[in-house]
Amino acid sequence: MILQMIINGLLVGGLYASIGVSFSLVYGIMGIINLAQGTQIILGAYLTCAMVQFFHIDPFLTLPVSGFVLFCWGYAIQRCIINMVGKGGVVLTSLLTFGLNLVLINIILLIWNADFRGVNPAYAGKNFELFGATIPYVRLAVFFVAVVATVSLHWFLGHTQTGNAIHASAQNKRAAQIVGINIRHSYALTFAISSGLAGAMGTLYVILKPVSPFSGADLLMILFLVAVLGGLGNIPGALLGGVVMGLTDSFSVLCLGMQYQKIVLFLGFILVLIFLPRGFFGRRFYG
Amino acid sequence: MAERDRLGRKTTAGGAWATRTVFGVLLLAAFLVPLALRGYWVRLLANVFMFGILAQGVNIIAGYCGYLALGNILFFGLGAYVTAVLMTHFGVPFPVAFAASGAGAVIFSAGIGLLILRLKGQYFLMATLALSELMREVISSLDITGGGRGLTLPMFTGGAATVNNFFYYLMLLLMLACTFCIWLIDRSYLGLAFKAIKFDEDAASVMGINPPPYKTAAWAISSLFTGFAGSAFAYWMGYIDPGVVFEITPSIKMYLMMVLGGAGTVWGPVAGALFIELVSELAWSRFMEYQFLIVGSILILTCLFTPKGLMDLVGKKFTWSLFTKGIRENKI
Repeated sequence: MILQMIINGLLVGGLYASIGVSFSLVYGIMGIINLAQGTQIILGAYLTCAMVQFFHIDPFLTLPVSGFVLFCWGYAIQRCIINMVGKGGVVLTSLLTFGLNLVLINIILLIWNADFRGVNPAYAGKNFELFGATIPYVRLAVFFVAVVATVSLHWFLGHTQTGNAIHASAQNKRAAQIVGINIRHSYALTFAISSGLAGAMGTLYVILKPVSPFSGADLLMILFLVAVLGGLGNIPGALLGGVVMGLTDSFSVLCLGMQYQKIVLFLGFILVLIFLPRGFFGRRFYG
Repeated sequence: MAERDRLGRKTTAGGAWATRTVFGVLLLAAFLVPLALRGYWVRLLANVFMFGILAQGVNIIAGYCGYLALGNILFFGLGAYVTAVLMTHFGVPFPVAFAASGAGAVIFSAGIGLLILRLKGQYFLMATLALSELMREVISSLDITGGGRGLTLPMFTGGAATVNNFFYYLMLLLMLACTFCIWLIDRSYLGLAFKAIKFDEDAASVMGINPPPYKTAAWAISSLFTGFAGSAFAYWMGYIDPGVVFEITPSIKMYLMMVLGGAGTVWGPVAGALFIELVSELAWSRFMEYQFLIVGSILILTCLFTPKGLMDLVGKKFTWSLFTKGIRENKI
């Protein structure tokens, strides 16, 4: 039973890590708390539902599409709106992203109603046994895709010129501009990558759990917690944070039961903020 | 330009007569409303005043002190539940329950504030959001609060008009009291300390202002206002459940009102409350399914075009460059 819980926690943790990274990236590079991130994930999930319903394709195949749609949305939003209040400080940018969050929720409500939606691929029930623990193939695939996405993002930021440009604009705006980096573009690109990752993770999330237009609020708590645990802006840290979060999730269900899961989540959140505000690695990591 | 003394307050009131006359007329009109208008409008205005109180609550902590307590609805719910539990289970009269709600909110915020106000802005923001969700979950799972089913309070005795008028004057007086309180703070050393913390916390502590006690005081005052509003709301509605009093939308609306009216100004949040509540009443009675879209769009446009609030525009000539000033100052 305990082994089963650990495996469940690890598998969900991969997804949580990736979600946390998408949030952490925007904070680390631009110092913006994106309160719309949870709903962006939900938007990706709804896109997947719609595509599965209309074209009857495998949900995993819709991942590039929802990722790409959210990527374009994110680029446009950052370039046209968020850049316009960029210097206004955290109060203004947080309020702005909250406004975006409300608009997104309303768009989802107008298109898809307030019902819970999920996808149910034919192979959802298939699993295999490992040391007496059951591992569904779907969860394993979700874990694998999420980890690959996170690791390749980390590689992209560290080893390509665009990635370095993004890092540079986080470290010193003025100096980055002097060496010829268009920081408006690189900020927009950062936000677009974050949104695109969120959209792709929405696809994975809806394969595991059904979503409603208002699920974004719970996701926001999870992703903020993951990002804080790992240190905001720190990608390898967020991987660890995601796994810890996944384990806490599955053990709180085992020990306390379903109805206290949310209480544990929020209480844990506040305790982490009070006692570990800089995460496991004890420093703040920008870019 | 009026001259200012050591604490930055105006010593000679510039353009005082026109302002004072308009202000006096508005105040008189506010007191006479229940005599002239009936039912619907009295309730609507009482609601506006309630949001005015909430907006003044966030004005102290976010507008003056710069700490975005996005989950301030927590104290609204707490105040409402303290009143409801005391009145239904212990038969306490309303004035006592009302006072207890304010005290409860202050004790809670001061206790928690000492812990979480050490956090920097963004972390504090998320911590308050989590706190309000936590409070909602805890209240939903307790027996004494009726869980998810909610509580029904003892009825206010009297006809419909008496009820309307009572809550209208209660909300109006509360709002005026809060605004007066903010006016006092704005003119005092305390307000100056709050503004210094908002401007630069490190610099403020170098200047001899120890931030944690000031921040806690700001949050306690904020929670006092919000708790009172919650208490009055509970008695007014006669029935509360966790979904109603911990709803996130009012929490956002009070920020919208504060920013739109002018964060860190005395009358701004009240003006914002009046504007937003009237607009939403107008829009929501017709476009119910677009309510988030409308609030969200106003929020975005406010952040873009009037980041300093409407009060900043009062008395200035309207030009295109004034309209785009916010964007020019803040864009990257």
